[in-house]
Amino acid sequence: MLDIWIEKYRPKNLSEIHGQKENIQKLKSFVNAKELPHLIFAGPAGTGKTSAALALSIELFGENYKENLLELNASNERGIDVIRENVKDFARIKPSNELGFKIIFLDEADQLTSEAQAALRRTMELYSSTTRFIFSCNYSSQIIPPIQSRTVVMRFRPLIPDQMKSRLNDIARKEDFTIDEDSLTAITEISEGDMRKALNILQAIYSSGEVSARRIYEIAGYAQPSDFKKLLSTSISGLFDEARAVLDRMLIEDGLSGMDIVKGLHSYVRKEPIAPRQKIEIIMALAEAEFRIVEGSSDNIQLDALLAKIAYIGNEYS
Amino acid sequence: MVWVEKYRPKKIADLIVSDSILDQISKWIDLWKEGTPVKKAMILYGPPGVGKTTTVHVIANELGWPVVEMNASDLRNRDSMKRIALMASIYGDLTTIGENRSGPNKIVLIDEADNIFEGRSRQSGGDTGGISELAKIIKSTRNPIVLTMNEYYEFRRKSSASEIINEALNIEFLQYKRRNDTDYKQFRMKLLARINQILREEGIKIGQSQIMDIVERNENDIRGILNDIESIRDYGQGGASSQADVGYRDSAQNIYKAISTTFKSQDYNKVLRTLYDKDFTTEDYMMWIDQNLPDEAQEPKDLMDAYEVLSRADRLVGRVFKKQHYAFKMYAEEMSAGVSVMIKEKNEHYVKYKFPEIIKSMSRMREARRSREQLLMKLSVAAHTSKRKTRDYFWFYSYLATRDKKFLEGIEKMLQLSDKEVARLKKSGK
Repeated sequence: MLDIWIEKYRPKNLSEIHGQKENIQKLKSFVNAKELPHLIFAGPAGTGKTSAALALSIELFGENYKENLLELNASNERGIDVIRENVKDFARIKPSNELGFKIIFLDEADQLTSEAQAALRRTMELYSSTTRFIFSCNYSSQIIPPIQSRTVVMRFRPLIPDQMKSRLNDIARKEDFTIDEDSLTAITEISEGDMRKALNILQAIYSSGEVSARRIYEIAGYAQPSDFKKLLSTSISGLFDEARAVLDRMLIEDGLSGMDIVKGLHSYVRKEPIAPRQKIEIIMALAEAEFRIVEGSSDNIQLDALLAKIAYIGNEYS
Repeated sequence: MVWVEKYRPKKIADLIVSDSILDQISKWIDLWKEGTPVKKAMILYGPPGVGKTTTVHVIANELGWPVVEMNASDLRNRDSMKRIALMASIYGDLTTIGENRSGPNKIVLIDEADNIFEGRSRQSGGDTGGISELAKIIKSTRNPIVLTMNEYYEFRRKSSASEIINEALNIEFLQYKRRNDTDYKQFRMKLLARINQILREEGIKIGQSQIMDIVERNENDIRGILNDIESIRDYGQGGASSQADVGYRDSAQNIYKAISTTFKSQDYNKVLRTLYDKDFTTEDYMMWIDQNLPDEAQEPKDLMDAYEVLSRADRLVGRVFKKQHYAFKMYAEEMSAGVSVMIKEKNEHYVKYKFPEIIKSMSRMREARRSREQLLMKLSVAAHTSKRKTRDYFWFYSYLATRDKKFLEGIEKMLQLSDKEVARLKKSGK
């Protein structure tokens, strides 16, 4: 077993899932009836959508669940054709269980364009006798109506602090360490109902050797990569050559794409204390850069132009 | 003849492949000589240009067996699948069917097998996939089948791929992996010995440090290395502004002149005239401007204004492809040629124009991007988390990797991380 806690402590059955009581009851009733409709799991990150799909499969199919479950991720695959081919290949082989169906779990289904979803709908119809689809998404409104009408929609809500704290305490006990109330509060505050985030932070502070609220906030800050900080601070103070050196390193050595860089800068800038006028100018520059990266041909030219603009903003609105 | 062809290995001794890999392969071939082994196929995987395909040809050559080669893109239709199935199932070739032959006597090579899936289309009838079809062929083959691929881990994720992987001997050409293991060291030794031998034969003298630079820059891609060294011969060593410009120098003279006119001439029409008989592309021209613009514009406003022109020109270049409208390119070029008009405070000093960093590093950048994506994909699958989300949590994996030795060892083993991937993981965790 991989020593990533979100995997190590992933619920093995539906009862182990924290929160989402109604959904879990409904899912259990499907298990008892040995029948399953197509489903949409809608809700923010870290609320148990993937866990519910996995636990459901384990309860339905037992040990051989892996043969009867195809996990796909809309944002990982290289386009709708690949997804359809995968579905086809999987659906073609007869279910190796007595229920007569297999499950296809499509994570981040809302990442698909509506055209892609329409294409998927046809595939869904084609294999409906032997497969059940579970679509997971942040908002069910992003799923096209024809798919919605063929599925049961379940909403997953952010976990409330008490639910998170009891789970975090459980895990701390199993890993043989104690965690005080302040630290628990700090984690729940930062992770805003996202269990994945909470567990990752818990594992990170445990590995740092100091389980304290202070360390938790420190690590939360750590999640902001220092390269973006450097990129912004050099360019805004007009050190164009230095900024460009940082940029080139991120592109060439770290393998980031132009889009990664614009998005990373954006999320960094949003949280930074920068004078409002500068901030809005920078956000406009980022928006324009993102647009031009999509439209243009060379990420590099667009990013260099962005740095030049930020340098100007830093000089003009200081 | 280009060197890559001229010096393509013909004997096993010429191969730049570690002994342990050669050992595994020849043992497998020996099994074939004695009968039909349990693993009837062999998968050779690794980055491009490290000699996977060449090794197969050389070994076949030593055996005196022909290689029946299929490219994955050939596998689009049923007929070619049938052809492979037939070639794999018979001894001898199509002209000798019926003759009494016994025992395997050819190697069926399926190059770039990781592309089979995408190569498949409706033409195949849609009812059987290329991969499961191939798995069937492997089960019944009477001749050794070799598959080569770059993206082994992507391949492994495809459905039915496990049927092939489990039936095959999987060998990684691990030149990137574990810089201090003996396989890697041996590969590097053979590589340098081979390069020096070629240089001796060609009567070319290059410093060892320059050779090492070229080897590093090409990330051990033998094909790339030979091409680069060959271009040193063609363009000579003197005169070049930097030895790192090797291989990009053919149009450098002309573009250098165009760039200096672009920046230094006061006459926009003259700049346009120098572009009439250019032998470089608009895109290259723009990248050269991009590289050197900051040295010419001293004021923030000038720099921004000049970049604004270049950025809009680049947007037009993007539209050339999206709209298939080539006239945009002319506008893009003429706009780029005018960047110096935007610079009010010109740099009056002599500027030594530099070769665009981004062109020099193109292959390194591509490789970095590829390996980053691959690492994210591995983590994504292991943690049931999308690649997008995994990107957000990369800090977390880095953090653990630098602090928790057990975690790192576990993840390294389970995800089969290469040294490079481990380094990438640990890098942002400090």
